[in-house]
Amino acid sequence: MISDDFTAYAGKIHASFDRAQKADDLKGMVSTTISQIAKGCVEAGTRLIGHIKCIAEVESGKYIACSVVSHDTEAACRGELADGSYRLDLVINVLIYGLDKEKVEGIVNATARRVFEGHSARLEIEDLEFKDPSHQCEDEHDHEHDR
Amino acid sequence: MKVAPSTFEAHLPPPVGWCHWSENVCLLCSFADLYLNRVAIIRLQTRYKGAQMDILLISGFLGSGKTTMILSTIDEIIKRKHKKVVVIVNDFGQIGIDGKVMEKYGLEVREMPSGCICCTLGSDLLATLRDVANAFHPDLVVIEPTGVADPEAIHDTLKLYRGPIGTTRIVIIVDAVRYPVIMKALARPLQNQLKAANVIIINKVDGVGDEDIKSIEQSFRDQGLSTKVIAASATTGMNLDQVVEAMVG
Repeated sequence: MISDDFTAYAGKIHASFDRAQKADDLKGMVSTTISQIAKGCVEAGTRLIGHIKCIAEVESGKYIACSVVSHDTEAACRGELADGSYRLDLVINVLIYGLDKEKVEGIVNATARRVFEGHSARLEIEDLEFKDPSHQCEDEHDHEHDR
Repeated sequence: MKVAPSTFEAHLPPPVGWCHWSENVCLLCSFADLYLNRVAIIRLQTRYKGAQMDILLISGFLGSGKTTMILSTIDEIIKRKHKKVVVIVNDFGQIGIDGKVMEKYGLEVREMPSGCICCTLGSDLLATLRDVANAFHPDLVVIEPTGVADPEAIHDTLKLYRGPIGTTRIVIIVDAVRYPVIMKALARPLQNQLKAANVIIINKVDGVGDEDIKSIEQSFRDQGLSTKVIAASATTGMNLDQVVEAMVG
């Protein structure tokens, strides 16, 4: 089910705040971020959203995992964050058809900045994409899934 | 990150066919760069130890609810069947989100180096299975590939495993809400997934009406499928008894 226009983007966002944040506010930022990424991908012309998912963790170890498969539904989240958090780490995966990686990366970065910096957060965004130019097709295997 | 095949596995015949691309760099295999984590999630239950390990392949398109279904059923599988269970999850990215979620749910998570079980079909999955079998002697290995994997290709690879495997079941999870959209966009690969199934679970039925479920079932029949179908919801718990029974009954 990998096609020419399939893109898998992975990124990590470190958000830090000067003031302690409430759990609900943080959850709102996280779910808004991935919902807005989905919306941004649709606006950019994606053929199909595969899955946009994330896991967010605060310094106490509390976490939420959220995901969306559509731009017109709310993110589904499970887990909980803690009140009084100053830091949040967010790992995001965007699995999508019809947009290239640079486009997706741009959407993720712009959306995260818009949402989190709107709450006075400082952001560091890390691209988790694995780049191994030495990867070669050494094993014999079939690609039936692509046909 | 790739694991060299063992001498034994290196002498196995190719799983299904040969790579059709360049001798040096396979264009499609370059997608393997995207799939980085193989994570084994271990939940130990020591009351029962069987001689053979059964394989349960939980496949389905991206976002169909595979991880949620596993999290919603694994306790029941362990409780009801007294199984020692290992879950192998193949996820995207350097930090596998599904694996992390399972870890947060109290499962012991071990990261396995190497690539994608749908792309590096041969040695990596077999090597992982062998390591898991030797280390944990599980009764049941649940495999959750990425949502883009072809379960039939994985099944073909599993046939090459020389250890004591009992039954192998392929469960395909379908998102009831998005089925029409995905079928429209990716009909053939989705049909290939469905064709491989021993059981199809129409998940997220709490988000659709009865007519939608009937329409999906009709679509299966139109494809010539006579596979057992269970309408369920991993989040509400609807019909999960039937799902567990179908998985390990």
